Formats: sequence, C-alpha cells, structure tokens
Amino acid sequence: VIKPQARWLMTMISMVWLLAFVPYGFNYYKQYMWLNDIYPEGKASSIINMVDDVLSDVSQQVYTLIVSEEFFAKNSRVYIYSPDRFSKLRLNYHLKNLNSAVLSYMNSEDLASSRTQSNYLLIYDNDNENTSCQEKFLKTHQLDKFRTVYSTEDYCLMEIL
Amino acid sequence: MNTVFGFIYVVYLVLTGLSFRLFWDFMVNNKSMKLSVNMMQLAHSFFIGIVLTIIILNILQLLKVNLSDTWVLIYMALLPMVIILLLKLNKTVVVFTVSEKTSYFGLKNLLILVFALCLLLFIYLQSSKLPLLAWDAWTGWAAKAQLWLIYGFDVPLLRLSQWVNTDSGMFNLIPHYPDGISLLFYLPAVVLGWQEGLINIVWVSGFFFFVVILYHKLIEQGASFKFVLFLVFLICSIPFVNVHIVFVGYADIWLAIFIFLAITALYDYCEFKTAHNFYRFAFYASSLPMFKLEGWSWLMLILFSYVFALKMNLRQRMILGFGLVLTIFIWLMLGGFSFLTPYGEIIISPEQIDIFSKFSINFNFSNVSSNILHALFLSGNWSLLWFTLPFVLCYGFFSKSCKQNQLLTTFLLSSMVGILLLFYFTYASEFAKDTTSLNRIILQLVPTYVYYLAISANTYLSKKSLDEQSQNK
Repeated sequence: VIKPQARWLMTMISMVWLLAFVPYGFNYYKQYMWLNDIYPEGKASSIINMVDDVLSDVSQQVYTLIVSEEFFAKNSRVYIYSPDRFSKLRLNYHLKNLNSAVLSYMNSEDLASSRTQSNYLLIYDNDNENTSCQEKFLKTHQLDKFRTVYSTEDYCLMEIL
Repeated sequence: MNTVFGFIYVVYLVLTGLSFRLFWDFMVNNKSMKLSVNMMQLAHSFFIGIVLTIIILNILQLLKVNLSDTWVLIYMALLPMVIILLLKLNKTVVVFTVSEKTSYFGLKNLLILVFALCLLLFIYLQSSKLPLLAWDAWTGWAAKAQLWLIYGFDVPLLRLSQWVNTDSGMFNLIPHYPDGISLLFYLPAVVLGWQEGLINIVWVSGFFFFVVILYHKLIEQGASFKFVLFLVFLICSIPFVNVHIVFVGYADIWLAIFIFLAITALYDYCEFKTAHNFYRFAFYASSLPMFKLEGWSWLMLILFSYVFALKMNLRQRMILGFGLVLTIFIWLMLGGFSFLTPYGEIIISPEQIDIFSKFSINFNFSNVSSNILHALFLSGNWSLLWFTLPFVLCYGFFSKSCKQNQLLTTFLLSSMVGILLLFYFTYASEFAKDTTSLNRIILQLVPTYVYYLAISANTYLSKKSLDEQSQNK
C-alpha cells in the first residue's frame, strides 16, 4: 500500500492542480488580449457586441420617430416583437425610456389602443431576405387596424389603431 | 473614473457595515472603550453593509419614498457618520490590526492578503472593461434599477400579463424576484447617473472579502501557511467562479457567498454558543432570500441540517428516515390524493404537487446523468474540484467528526440530494441539458464545499503528520 507522507501528499495535490491550471491560465490570458481588441475604449460601454450595435442604432431611430408622433403620450406603449430572442430583449433594454415590453407571441387582442394616446408595435426581423419586415410579418400574423409609421427591410414601426 | 467611483462605493459599504458592527458592540455587548478592527471584521462589515443597504432601501421603497440624489447622498453619509460620532463622543478608540493573531501570523497573513489581491486584480483587469454581458443583469437586475431611475423608485414592476391589463406600472421580466442585486445597482446610479462598469469592482471586492474570511477561518482551524496559500489559489483559479466575477450581474455568486457566511456562522455557533454567533447566523441566513428565490430553499436546508445533525439523536433520525421512506412508498403506490378546500385544491400525486394553485410542481423523470457528469468532471468549469468529492464523502462518513462537522456533512449531502432530485425529476432537467443553469446551482454550493474540503484535508493532513512524527520518535 502506498502511504505518502503528509507534506508529499500536499505537494502532489498542489502540483496536479497547478498543472490543470496551466491551460486555463493561458486561455485566460488570450481572452484578456482578445477583450482588449473588442473593447479598446478602456472603459465599459452599453453596447455588448456587433449585433447589439445595430440594435442600439435601430432603437435610437425608433425613439426619435415615436416621440415626434402627434398622439405620443408619456404612457404610450411600445410592444416589441422579433423572432430572435436576443434582438427583442436588447431592443427593450435600449428603449427603456419608453413604456415598452417584449411579446413572446403575437396576440392582437393584447394590443389595445385609444385616440388619447398612441400605442406602437415595433417588429424587428433581420433575416437578410429581400422582402420588407412588415410584409413578412403580415403574411404570418393577423393585424387589421394599424398605420405604418416607418418601415425598412429590417424593422417596421406601426401605430395600432 | 468608474473604478474610482466603484471603489468609493465599496468603501461606503464597508463603512456602513463597520459602523453598524461597532455600534452593535458598543450598545448591545457594552464593550470596553477600545474596539479593535481586523481584516476579518472589515470583510464581514462589507457583507453587513450590503445587507443593511438592501434592507434600508427596501423599507424606503415600501414607504414609497422617492429618492433624489441629494437625499441619497445625505443618507449615505449620515449612517456611518452618526455612529462614528456617537463612538467619538463616548471616547471610544477604534484600533486597526491586520489579524487577531498578529503577534505570530502578521507577516504571513499580509503575504496571503497580497497574494489574494494580486489574483483578483488579474481577474478585475478583464472585468473592468466589460459592459453588462450577463443576461440576468440586463434583462432583470440592472433593468429594474434603470426603470426606478427613469420612472421613480416606487413604480410598480409587472409581468406582461399584468402590464397588458393595467394602465400604471412598467414591464419587467422578473418582477417576482427579490430586489437585492437591483438595489445594489440602483444606489450609486441615483447619485452619479447610470455608469456602465461602475458596479464591476463591487463583484470582485465581494469575492476578495469572501477569500479573506475563508483564509482567516482556516487559520483559526490551525491550517499551515502553505496550505492556506494553496487554498487561496484554488478558490481563485476555479474557471466558473472567475466567469461569475468577470461577467458582472449574476446573483449566484452572492448567494453562494452568503450561504457560506450563514453556514460558517452556524458552525461557530455550534462550537461556541454565544449570542454574537447566533445574531451573525440569523443576520446572514435571513439575507439569503434577498438575492434570489432559491435563497428560501437554501435557508430551509440549513435549518434542516441544524435540526438533523445537532438536535436529533440516532433514534429520532431513524424515525424521520423511516417516515420519509414510508411517505414516498405510499405516495408512489397509492397514487397520491387530492381534495378541495375553501382556499382551492390540494393535489399530491406521483405526477404533481399543487397547493391552491399557488405552488405547483410537475414530476417527470429525465436521465440527465451524462449532463451532470460532464458538467462536474469534463467541462473544465470546475478544474479538478469535484474529483475531491469521493475523499470528502468518505471522510464525512467514516471519520469521527465533531458536531459542527456533522452539520456541514448533513448540509452538503442534503444539498446534493436536493440538486439531483431537482434535475432528475422536475422540469429543471431542461436546464441541466444546457449545463449553464446546472453549473450555476452548483456554484451556489461551491464556497461551502471548498471550506468543508479545506477543513477535512487540514484535519487529515495534520493527523497524518502527527502520526509520522510519533512513528519517527
């Protein structure tokens, strides 16, 4: 039976742990250099990746469009819908200055509106197809009363009537 | 600049906790005019400061007090100032020492402290540049704080189904979760506005203070300098732990640290039944549900372990075990039961437990063995940590350990059984398959496990060393 001395046992365990740490430590250092390239400003920003950079731009455009609307009020609601979970959650994060929420599924009965205030539906669908986002959305979803505020291939903003 | 502001926030948390501790010592224990403060106490002060801040802000929120930056500044300055002034008026002297055992462990203590600082500085170099990458943070915790900043501290936060059907309130993905982490984000943001990255240093400081408490506890247990140094390196080099310090915004690391603080306070209480140890345990244990809903489960497990290990004799344990087995047998064989009460229906069957539709859980066996084994041993998330499990289990079962060690063994075993039942028999099996949630629940147990591993290994090595010395003589 092998009976190592206490100090040898401790040394062996330490050495094995250190050996296991070597590849992780090396990887950690590479990751540190990589992060320096990705976030070169030297301080944290609110943009987390390249997709989010685009979403941040979209949310700024949407914000400008909505606040310039005639029936926009402080309690106006913005429903955000996208087939991509990350996109709709990030849009909601960037649009926190508006009363916004993400829809996990589309239920047009939820989107009630009144003429004292406007409620909006923001749809984001960036799948690189050659049709507008609104057309793609209306092919698969039922929405009868709406007014298009703005529409591009990637996103569309509609006022719910 | 955010690092500086973040550091000031950490100092504020330490001061708040420290002044509360000094005040407690002065008022309740009626101690002498000389109060000494060491690193261990500073570390505890940080965690007490965090809990106090959460409690005070929760009360202000409950009273619908809308905080302005001026009021927050006054509040932040007032709490430590009043207490320190009170001590000054009573001519109380506060002395700072590195360790309680300065005379013979001063320099080595300092070396361990510097070593831990260097390791965590290495982690912070990565963390300081990162935005809020953690999903939990930007979808939940930080999002709540930002909504309070924009719409007021008392704005109701609602789920989608509630938000759609009401005119007031704002949508949030986790309004039913406790506000602890969100309030930590909120306080500095009221004064400085939302500063991305400011909070990052709080995460790394929290872990640093945990390391300080861990190694002081090991020194108290008589561990050698080399052993403590290795343990500090071990806890700072576990990849998944590092990820949760670097990606600021997850609450699991805080829950993990507070479980460790509560269980070690209870450990101390079992050893020395002083009022101080009991209050410390009560304070940390009651703070668990402030961070995550799972906190309730951990709190119940800690209390169960205490009753089982320290209050029950062998006969009572046998009766409890027999009762449990019999209940499960009847439950499975007879197919359970259900009945209607004025408050709703109670269903207890092998397929589900439903109590008044308020608490509901469905059971469905999923074989997640390969996911669990992969997460613990092969994924690289835990380095070699879980390979020590057989040693720890054997030591826990076969060594004649003291009552407080039995408490730790019971807690770790019941936690592991609880985790396995959760992932094998409930919908949580889905989360086991993506491994991230599985690892996050395991993380909540890791600081306590490392502590148990350390004291088991230390006792084993010391005993072996003594045997060798006696053989040599």
